[in-house]
Amino acid sequence: MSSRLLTFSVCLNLVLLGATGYWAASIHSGGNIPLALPATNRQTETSAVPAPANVAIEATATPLRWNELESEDYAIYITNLRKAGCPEPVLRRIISADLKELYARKAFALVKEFHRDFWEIAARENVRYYYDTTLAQRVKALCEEPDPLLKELVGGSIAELSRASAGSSLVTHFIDFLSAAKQQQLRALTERYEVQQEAVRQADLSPQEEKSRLAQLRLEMESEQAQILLPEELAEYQLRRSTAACELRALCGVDFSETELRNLTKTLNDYHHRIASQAEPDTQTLDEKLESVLGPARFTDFSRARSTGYREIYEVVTDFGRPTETAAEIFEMRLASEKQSDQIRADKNRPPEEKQALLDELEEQVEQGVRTRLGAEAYQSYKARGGLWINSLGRF
Amino acid sequence: MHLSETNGRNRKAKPMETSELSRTRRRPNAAQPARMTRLFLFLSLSLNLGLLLFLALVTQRPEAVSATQTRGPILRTLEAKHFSARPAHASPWAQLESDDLAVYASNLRASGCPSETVRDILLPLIDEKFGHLEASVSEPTNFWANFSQRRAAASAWVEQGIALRQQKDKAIKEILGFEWSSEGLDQARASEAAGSVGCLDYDSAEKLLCITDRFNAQFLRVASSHRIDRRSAIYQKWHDEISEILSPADLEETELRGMLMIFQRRNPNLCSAGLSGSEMRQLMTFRCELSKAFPSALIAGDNELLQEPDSTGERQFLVKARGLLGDNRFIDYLKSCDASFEKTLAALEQEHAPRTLALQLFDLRQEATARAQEIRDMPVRRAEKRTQLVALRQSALEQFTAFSNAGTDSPLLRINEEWLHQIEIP
Repeated sequence: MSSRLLTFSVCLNLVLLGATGYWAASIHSGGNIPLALPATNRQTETSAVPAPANVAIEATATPLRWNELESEDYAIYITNLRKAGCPEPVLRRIISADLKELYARKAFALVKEFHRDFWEIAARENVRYYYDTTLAQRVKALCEEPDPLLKELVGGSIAELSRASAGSSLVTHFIDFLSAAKQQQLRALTERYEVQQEAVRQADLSPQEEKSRLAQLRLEMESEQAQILLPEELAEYQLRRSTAACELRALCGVDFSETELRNLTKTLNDYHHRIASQAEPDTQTLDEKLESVLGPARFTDFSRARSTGYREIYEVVTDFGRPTETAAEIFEMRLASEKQSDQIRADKNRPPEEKQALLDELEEQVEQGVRTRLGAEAYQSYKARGGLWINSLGRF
Repeated sequence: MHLSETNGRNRKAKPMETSELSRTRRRPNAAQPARMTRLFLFLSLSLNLGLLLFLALVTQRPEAVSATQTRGPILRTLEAKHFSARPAHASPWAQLESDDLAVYASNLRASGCPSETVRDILLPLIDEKFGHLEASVSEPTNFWANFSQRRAAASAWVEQGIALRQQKDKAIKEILGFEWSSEGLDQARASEAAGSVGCLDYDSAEKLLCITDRFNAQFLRVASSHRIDRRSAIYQKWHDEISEILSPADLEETELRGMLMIFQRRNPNLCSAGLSGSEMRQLMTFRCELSKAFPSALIAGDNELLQEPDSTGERQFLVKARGLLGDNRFIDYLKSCDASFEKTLAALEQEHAPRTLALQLFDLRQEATARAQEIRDMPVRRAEKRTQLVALRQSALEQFTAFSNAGTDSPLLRINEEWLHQIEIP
């Protein structure tokens, strides 16, 4: 009985010694594999064949422990994350953020001395200039150091990773009249050319060469756009993207109908094309043309809408919640009073003292009128920023 | 309780083993082979026991300290519920993932994932979720809309954007514990602001940049506003949040540096005044008493103050600066940042007049300018103001010539003509 028991026990000894040996061997062969990662994760690394279901269940029954994934060596950290089934975009985010932060901390350490002596430096020179000329480049270079490392580790630079989600700069309101498919095509096209344009700008070219290449790219892009869009669609797209349309969108405080806006855009575009070949811009002719398009009353509105002076009043009026008509009233008051003060100054039949008294009176009237319309607080604010013209009325 | 029981059982076992051994010793003449077999059996069984124990120990997972052990019962229940719901066949990572980002975060924390990594994994996902919402409230698209329509639509769009941002920030805070911002983190990682906020430790700077990024849209909105109350309200909110992450000393230092950036830009010759570092810092303390620098001064190198100080404030500042530096060094300070004073001083030096005379003339200018402002603010007719201002100018001119012995065509008077002329303008 004892000898049978001894035989069984010795056999068990051998089995257990074998198991211990296997465990020790597996530790040595998988040096970068964390101690307690499930065996199936190691299997997935070496075999493309999926592990048997029963093995997978056994392997994944235990929850993942982060301290077993982490390593001071990025390559090991990445291998471990991949083994744990971390999706590639998540892995990139983890590694990219980790690397960037690591180098940013180094950059902070680099500027520590500068910050320690900050006030002493500030006392003898402009700190921003000092920083820009002595440290900024080094800090920038340090923060760009992870780029190649990241490319090596996860196959893409930080810049490329951020570019991937940038998309085209094409604003929706330029293309919202097109079908969804054409919008998509146009966006893709724009994005493609934006990348090429950026490459030209980044290249070390002479200004003339850069200009010429960019013009060439623009022509090529327009030619491709013409293949995507119908002629009337292309015309509408170009109208919306024109400089004139951009100028008109900057008009302030006056409502123009779609027809008026389209007519104005075309008139301004014609003018821009014509003056491209002229040395002197002829604004008088442009205004006459615009007046003929809009009619005299609407042209007055247009003149007001494009005036910086009107915009200043408009901003104050809306900021302080006054009716927008107040802005138009004050602007009209300004035009009229400036004209009146010019007339007083130019009057040769009055002595200077009388002119000054008249100008003082005019300034007081206007000041009172503007203050009444805006209210005391808004008036103070306006006078400090855009209302200096009121004081100019009384100057002789 | 359990341990003491185990220890008790061990203590009872010892006498039994001793009695076995002693029993063996009492029968020295028993069959030798049987004894050997029993001895080998005993050794073999002991080896088995040892090997089994060893294998059991090395294959058992060590209990990692998980976040669940340190957090409240509600979160632990949530995590436990999620872990139990995981499909057994999933990869370890898939077991952590969840469409519910709060659950995803809890799972990551429970696995022992550091909070920074939890943030780096989840913040882009939160951005993405809200990005879809932002896209759905995209900019108004009616290209040919009139001004009122565009303005109303743009205003509504901005409002929606701000509201959405607030929702996103709230979600970020709930999931990650702090309102991180991808842009703020990118700024910190690119060390763009290392020159201005590098005085802080990296973690604080990171938070400062994230808070400031969150306020950017609101700051932009009020930047061109004429309403000081609106600007102040936004600034105050930003300031309150910053106060929570920075110590009072760090906050003060940050504000002083922001002010310095603006002040040096506006007074490029300031560094030639021969000030010490501590004097420069003290001067910025005086400036900060007058107004505050917008955070964009630190982050983007902008030049904007919350509110431009008025002439009274500027005079108060100069009085404090003079008290700090003393007359002689105050002259150097004025020389560095006041072109008219610099020219006056140069003219006096050419005539070998004492430097202090420049300061007397400066005092005269300050007094006359202050008095002129009082007259302008008086509730009297403009003609009356003009009369008083002309008289004031005449008086100032007489005092000026009396101090300096300057003739009507002297260079000194020409240099100071500008402010004397300004005095008489109502």
